[in-house]
Amino acid sequence: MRTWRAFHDWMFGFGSATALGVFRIIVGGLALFNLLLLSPHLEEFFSEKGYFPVAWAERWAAEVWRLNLLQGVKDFGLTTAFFWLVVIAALFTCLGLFSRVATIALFVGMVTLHHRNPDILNSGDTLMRQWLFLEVSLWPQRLIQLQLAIVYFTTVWHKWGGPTWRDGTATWYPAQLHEFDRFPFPAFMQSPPMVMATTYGTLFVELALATLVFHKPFRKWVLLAGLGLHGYIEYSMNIPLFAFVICAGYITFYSGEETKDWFLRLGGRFRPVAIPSLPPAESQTGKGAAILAADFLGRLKPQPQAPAEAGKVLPLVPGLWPLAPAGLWPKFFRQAFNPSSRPESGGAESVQKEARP
Amino acid sequence: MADSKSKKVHPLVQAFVIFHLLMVFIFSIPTRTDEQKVAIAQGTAPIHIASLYHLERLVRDPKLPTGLYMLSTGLWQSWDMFAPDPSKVDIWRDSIVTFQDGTETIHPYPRMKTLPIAEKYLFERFRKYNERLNNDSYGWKWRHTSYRVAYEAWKDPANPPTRVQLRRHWLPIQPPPNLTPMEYKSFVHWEEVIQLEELRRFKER
Repeated sequence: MRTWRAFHDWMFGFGSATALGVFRIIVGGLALFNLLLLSPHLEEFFSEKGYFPVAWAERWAAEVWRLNLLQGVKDFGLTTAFFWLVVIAALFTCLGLFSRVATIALFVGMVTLHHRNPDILNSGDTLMRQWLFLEVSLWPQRLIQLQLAIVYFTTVWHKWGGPTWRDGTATWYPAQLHEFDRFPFPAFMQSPPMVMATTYGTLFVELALATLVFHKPFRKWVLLAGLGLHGYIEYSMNIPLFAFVICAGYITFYSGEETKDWFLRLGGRFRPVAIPSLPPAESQTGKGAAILAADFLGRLKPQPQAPAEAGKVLPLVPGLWPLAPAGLWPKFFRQAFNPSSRPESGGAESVQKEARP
Repeated sequence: MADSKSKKVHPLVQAFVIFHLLMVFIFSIPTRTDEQKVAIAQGTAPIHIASLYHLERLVRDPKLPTGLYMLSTGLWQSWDMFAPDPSKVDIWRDSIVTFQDGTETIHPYPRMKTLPIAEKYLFERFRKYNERLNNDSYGWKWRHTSYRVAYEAWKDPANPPTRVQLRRHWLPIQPPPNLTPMEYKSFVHWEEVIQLEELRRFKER
């Protein structure tokens, strides 16, 4: 009973949604980038005279109904319009505008495009669908962690069934497949000891990402090893976006509170930046609250003084107020990279005191 | 979420979360090998193999609600990248197009190795598509692909393509530590005589 209780608490605990918010921004951005990469080739992959006509999608879905809003749609103009609506949903998801509706629309749109042409999908696309589904599902954060663990666990299971993974030569072969060539890597990476080390190292890291990552003392090191693994694959092999999509899930291994603290600690390395046109009273509501909410480093400090820089123009054109933080970037960077102007002490606590009067 | 707080969670929410996780896990279990499938059919497979096989059918059978949940909603997945073994053959393709006046041209298909880095990002989906197209079990797609190639190659209205040959080039990778010489083998795996009327209809689609 005690074990069940402990599992229940672990599985269904509540916390801050900051980590999920960061995850949503990253996944929305990746979805947007992914769609933009596909956009020059809509005719090739989504039209009747392309490589994958509607009839093939219907044949693929003959045995089971598949969610596909483009089912039977042969009009390329309509398909193109639908595609750009999905792009807008991705943009809104990334920006956090109508985020729940936008994420649902993005999920449905993405699944539709994937079911319209499944022949061009890679693992990054498959994982993207899971992320979008889980973002709008019940209990997303723990489910994302466990989905990631299932990915790594079953991939090791798959690999253990292959002779080359067992005899330590597997990583030799992908490196010789020139259709995956990206950036060159040093010759010693292809020496037999290195091939063996990278083969077994891959299995070990992937297994750790399915198991040890849940043990807090190991978490950081396991995730760093995962970043190293995917970073090397991303550098050396042309598998667009997969590394980014899978590593996006790593953020969910940190609670919202931990994520927020991390950003504030990072922000603590920089000097606070005053917002002259934003009086503190106004900072808690309306545009002030919106600007401060976007300040994930906790460095903006509302001040009631007369406008100095950004404040000169922005109050005159109310529609430009969302650009206020952009107007402060030059000053922000000037201060950030000038060591003499840095604060003497950092840390989340001091930041909160300074930036949130 | 070690610092998370416990609250009462509706049993239906808990049931959904556990159900979803089970479905995803079972769906992701590696597919059985042919030998194991034979053993299962003959009833000689070990119990754990047979059990996994039946669980897998539960989530993959489109007639069952569990199968529908995974297949219809886009939750289907498989994590067999470079598994159980990485591919040991490097493959790319192009086509030989013959025109009405008897001339021949090599019609290229995006080849990752020769593309600049930025374009590799843009054209990777062509590599993926080619990976599927090269599989002989997708041979029924080659006729349509030939017309697509003819459509792309047809620049002069007075000189339409009359024949398209789909050609694959492959390089078997040698085991370590021997680097494989860059000597690709080539093979025309499909030849299509292009009907002008059909090509015109294709163009107007």
